[in-house]
Amino acid sequence: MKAKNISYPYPVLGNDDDVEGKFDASFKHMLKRDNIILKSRFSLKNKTLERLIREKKAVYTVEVECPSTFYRKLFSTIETEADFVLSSTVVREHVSVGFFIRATETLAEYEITGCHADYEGFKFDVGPGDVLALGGYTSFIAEKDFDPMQPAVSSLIAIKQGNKDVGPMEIDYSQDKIFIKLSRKDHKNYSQIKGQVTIAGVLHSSIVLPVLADAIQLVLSEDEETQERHWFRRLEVILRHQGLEGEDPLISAQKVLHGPIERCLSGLVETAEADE
Amino acid sequence: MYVAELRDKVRSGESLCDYLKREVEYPTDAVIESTIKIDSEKLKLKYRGTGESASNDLENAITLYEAFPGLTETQASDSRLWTYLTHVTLRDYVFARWPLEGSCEQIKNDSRKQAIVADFILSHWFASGGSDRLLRRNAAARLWWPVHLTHAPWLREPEFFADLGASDPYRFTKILLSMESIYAEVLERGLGRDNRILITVLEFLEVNKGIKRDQIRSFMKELNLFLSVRNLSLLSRKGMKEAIFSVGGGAIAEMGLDL
Repeated sequence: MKAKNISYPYPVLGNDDDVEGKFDASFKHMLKRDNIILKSRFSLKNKTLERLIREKKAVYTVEVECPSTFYRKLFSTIETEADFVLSSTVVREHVSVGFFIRATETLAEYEITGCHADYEGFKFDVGPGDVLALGGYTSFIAEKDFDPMQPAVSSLIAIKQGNKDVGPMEIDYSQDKIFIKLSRKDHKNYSQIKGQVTIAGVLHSSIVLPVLADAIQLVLSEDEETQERHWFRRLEVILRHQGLEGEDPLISAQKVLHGPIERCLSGLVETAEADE
Repeated sequence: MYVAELRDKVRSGESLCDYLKREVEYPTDAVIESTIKIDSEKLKLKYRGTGESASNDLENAITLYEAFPGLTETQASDSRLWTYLTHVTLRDYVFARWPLEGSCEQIKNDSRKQAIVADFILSHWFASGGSDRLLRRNAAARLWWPVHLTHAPWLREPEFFADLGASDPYRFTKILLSMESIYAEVLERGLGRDNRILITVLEFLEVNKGIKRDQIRSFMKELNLFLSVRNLSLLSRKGMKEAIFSVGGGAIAEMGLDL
């Protein structure tokens, strides 16, 4: 559920420069055993909308959507802070959350303070459910063990043996995890060293880093072929939470992997010193 | 992980001929025990032979739904469940309902055909991915979900759907599965995610029984456009029904076609 490029028939706060003012939402989710708590906080600066909410003619809405489970639900409040609860049995994997202010009833001759000069002097008929302000979107992964700040690489990428005896590694982005397929010879060598702590940085730098950077590029370019895969959605959440959406993919990949080059070189030095 | 291997083998063409065999042995360590309750006595789907049409879809959908009492949405979006069912439990049914065209030799000797067959198998025998679109194509999931989404809405939301009364619990399932185009157009556009809207759309289609495929498509397009600005969840049952019936009526009238 991403921001859609919609041309509204009336001024909407948060849509380009339609209206002066501000509407922001901050959001946290807590995964419990049986339910998920959605903690939302709203910050609004616009006289008209503040008044409409006071009069209950408009509400803040938190709109939750989970494409994996055919789930969509709207929660509404007139409070600037509100917690909503949903059962943990109704969502799975990637959950999108959108924030809006919507009319609860027909607002005849609607006009809003601070509207762009293009709208000045015009009045509009707004219906119940119509959007009055856009507060952005976020998303989370409905899985207790998933931490977008410290993601386990294994939740995104798996290394396995391919079909060729020798040759370059091949990447399969078409499944729910990214599969790096090593030749039989490479996989045999990889299997011998993969558990060693000092080697983790080397493996991350040489095998995982280029693949992750490529995968991040696919996410940033909103690749249509892979965007429904779990790894894509997880990576999207990781990039958003770590503030990496505007970064170069190779830099982002290094940050997600927590400095693989440094860990690689340190590991190699450690191994060399141990050999001496 | 084993499902990924199976998919790999289909994509590479290695296992395509397995999907022409009634019985294939899968390694026992590739299967994990599940706590999902199955009424296996009930799980008997109807099929006559290969090339089975959609005529038994409704009956089979209800049978499958009732064979999994208490299955949650989270469980029902687990691709492993549906992949297991299509490959093992419901293998004969999948053969009948979604048969492959051609012999093993024909498939092996034609690379273009191989790609088509692989796509077909990946669509109907697997359900990987994080989207309801993929669940709509798996031979078993596509039966369970429409029943779940439409089963007795008055039990799910007694207050909102109070006016419907407790009638046939599959009243709306029957409409959804009455035409392939209703199923595809309604669920393809994500409308199935909002139960109130889904049921009201089906009510409109129930009233307008003779509606044609083009008209359904036009209605869904108009409704999607309408929903991009307005969220109908804030409306009363009466308000929502009026809004959806108005969009539907307008879309049909605009096409200038008689029902």
